[in-house]
Amino acid sequence: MERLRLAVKKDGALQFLSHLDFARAVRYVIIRARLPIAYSEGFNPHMKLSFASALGVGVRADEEYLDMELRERLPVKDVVEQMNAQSPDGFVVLGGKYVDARAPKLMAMANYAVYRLTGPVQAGYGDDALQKALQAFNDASDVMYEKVSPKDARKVRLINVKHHVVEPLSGKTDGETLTLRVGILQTDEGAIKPQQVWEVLGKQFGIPLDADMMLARRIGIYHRRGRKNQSLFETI
Amino acid sequence: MSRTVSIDPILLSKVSKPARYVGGEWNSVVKSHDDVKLTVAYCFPDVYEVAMSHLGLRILYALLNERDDVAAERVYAPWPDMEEVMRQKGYPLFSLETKTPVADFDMVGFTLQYEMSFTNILNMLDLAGIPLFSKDRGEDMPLVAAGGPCAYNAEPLADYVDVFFLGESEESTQLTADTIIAWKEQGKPGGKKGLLKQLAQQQGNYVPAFYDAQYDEQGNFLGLVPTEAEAKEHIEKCVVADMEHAFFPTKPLVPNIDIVHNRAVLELFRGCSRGCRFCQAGMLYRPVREKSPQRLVQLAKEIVANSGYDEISLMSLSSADYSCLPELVDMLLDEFKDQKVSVSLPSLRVDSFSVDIAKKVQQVRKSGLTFAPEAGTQRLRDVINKGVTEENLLKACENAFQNGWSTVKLYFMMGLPTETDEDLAGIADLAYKVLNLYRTVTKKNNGRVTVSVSSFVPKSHTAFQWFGQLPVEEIQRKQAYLKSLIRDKHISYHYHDAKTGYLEATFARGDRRMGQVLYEAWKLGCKFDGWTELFDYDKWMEAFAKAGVDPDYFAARQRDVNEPLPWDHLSNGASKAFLQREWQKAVGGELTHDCRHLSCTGCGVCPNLGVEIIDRKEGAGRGKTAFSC
Ligand code: SF4
Repeated sequence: MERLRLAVKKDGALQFLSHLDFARAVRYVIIRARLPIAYSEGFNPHMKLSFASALGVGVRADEEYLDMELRERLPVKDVVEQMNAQSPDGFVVLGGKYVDARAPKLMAMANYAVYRLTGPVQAGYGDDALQKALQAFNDASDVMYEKVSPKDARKVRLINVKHHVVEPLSGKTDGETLTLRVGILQTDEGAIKPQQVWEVLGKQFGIPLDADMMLARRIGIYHRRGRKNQSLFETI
Repeated sequence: MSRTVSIDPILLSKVSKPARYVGGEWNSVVKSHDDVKLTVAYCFPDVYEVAMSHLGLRILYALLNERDDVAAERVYAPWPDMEEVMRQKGYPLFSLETKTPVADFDMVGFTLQYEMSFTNILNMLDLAGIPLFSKDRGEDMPLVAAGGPCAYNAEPLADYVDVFFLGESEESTQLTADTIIAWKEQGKPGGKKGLLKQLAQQQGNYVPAFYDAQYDEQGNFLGLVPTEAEAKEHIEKCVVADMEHAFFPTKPLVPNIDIVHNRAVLELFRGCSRGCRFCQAGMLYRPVREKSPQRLVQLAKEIVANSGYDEISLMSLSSADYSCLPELVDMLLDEFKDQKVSVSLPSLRVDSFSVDIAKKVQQVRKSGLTFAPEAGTQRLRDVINKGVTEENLLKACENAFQNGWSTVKLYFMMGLPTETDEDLAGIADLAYKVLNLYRTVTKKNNGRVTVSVSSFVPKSHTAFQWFGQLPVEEIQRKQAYLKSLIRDKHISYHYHDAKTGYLEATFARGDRRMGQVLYEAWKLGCKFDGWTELFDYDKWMEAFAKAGVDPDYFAARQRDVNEPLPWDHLSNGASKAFLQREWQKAVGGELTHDCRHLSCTGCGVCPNLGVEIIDRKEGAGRGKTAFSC
């Protein structure tokens, strides 16, 4: 078995897919590309394919990673070409690398994601005000987010946003559009969603944004060790 | 230059399943409207997942897009959450391929699969900014066309549709496209009406505006009178005589989200000659025309390679009737043995033979088996001409249980002509017999029987078209009665909403006056009536009251076999005399055999349309063409 790791892109028509739908679309690409993909044994054999993360509906990813097991070692270039020739609008294979069969799972490695969030902001909200608000966030030692369980409104969990947003936030306004750059670290306690960071900035730092109106684009995903973000292709 | 609609992706990401509205599917065809001579928007009046599962539209879509001079695109009904966004922000209804407003197309075609989607047609026209009534649409507006099974009783939609296409359109669509292109190139002589006059002369085309409906003093329908020289008195369906070489798409659209039937589809044959008297599809798609197994395997190979699907569904009105099914299944399993491609049969006949086939194709997964005895007693099964016995059913179930199946689903209908409570008790009886059989065969108590009962709706062009639909209360009483007879927790009982069936019946046998009811209902906000959560019966009753139409007149009234019917001018090739005979035989419990294996039973389709049954196994019969596998 050969474990091939691919960096791919999810955007265009595919950005609106749930993770399950995206995974199915990728499986169809693999079948059409006629790759010698390995299947699990058993009653309901499934393709040996795993992803770095579960991207939500509406989230574009400039970079996502997946591992697939091939029955034979094909040149990476051929895999990339064959897949791209069979890809629907919004899916592109950017590159690939064979990794050791014992390398840690992608899901376990990928613990740091950088997003660009965009959404409408009240007209006239200037850059000075924004920079002040972001500064206040960056200087705060704790920023608490109340996460209400979607199933039971009485169940509230407190998340310290600063445990996850470990690099300073930056952003700008352009007319009535606000753009933010947010890095989110996954810790042992889990992570926080970009949507929640957006909401916190509106509610607690006075940025006049609409909590429901935001589009996230993931511009990078990494393995973060200490203060260093390392590519998921580096498996050591 | 064509306009395009661009929806703010932030808004899109807030609606449920935004992928329904963005296109970009593998094998979808995007062409610039500036490079073609004709643009067609194929509209399906239901949500994406239902629409994308429909084979007919996929065939026509691929067929027209093969031509360099035509761009065919898809338009599906937006779910109410998306509609709200569109109405609020002023986005018009647009196509999935190029996001072109529907009003900018040359032709807008709706497929009419079931009556409960009619309000969606009005709603889609309105969302497109196209006047609902044909008479209000100017020359700048697209030609509004419709086809599909419900076009055989087109009258409820007569005010809204410019032209209906009856029957199979693989060949006639090309002619329609050529006609419209030529008309455009000649500078649109006679305007839209001029075009409609040309179309009205071609087979299968019905232009409702070219007829006047006449009624007597009591308001009973007397007939349609042509008002234009080009309007034919009888419109006969189009039929593809040579199924083997008919166009079939080998580059199917592959949706990005899961849809109702998400798999590759192989159409084995068209038509069904079993002659069940309640079944409209069985009459509309006559005669039976099979493809050869060789051709089917070739198609399957191409479809799988071009789609990436790992499941092939063998589709037809009753796929187990395909004469070369065992050979075909072997050939397919052999062809795909090295790929993880599975084969599935959506419909099974009630016999052991089909269980053997199911065994073969479901070597791994033993999902439930489905059988359709349709009625609970032999007497009633004879009335509906369902040539199936209790013995057939029990044998098939025994075979299934011995081979590891533990779930069986049984389909029945309620409210059939001559039905009594005894027939209903027979349904419960059969379910218990099947369950007990499971216990005897397997010595286990984990079997499951699902009884699914829908309410019978009399449809045009069937032997039961004269029969009155039972009142809602009576169906509800029957449903409760049957429920009281099923008390084993291993039997689950499902039934359909009686009110939906009743409304379906008003349309299925309605005339032009139903058009006003439809309009009132749409104004009251009715849409997606086929979806239980959105269906609002009270609003519909209000609509009937506003339009001054009595629903019982269309749904419940038993009709005289000699009275003029609103669909008499729309023909599938079968004669009315044949249906009248069948209706008499039904009441007498007399069976009519399958014309495919024995002699012709005289429905008239083959001689009237100049086509023949094509059966790949059967020896030469009366004017029947036979081939060997
Ligand atoms: S005309 Fe005869 S052979 Fe043809 S479909 Fe009708 S009954 Fe069957």
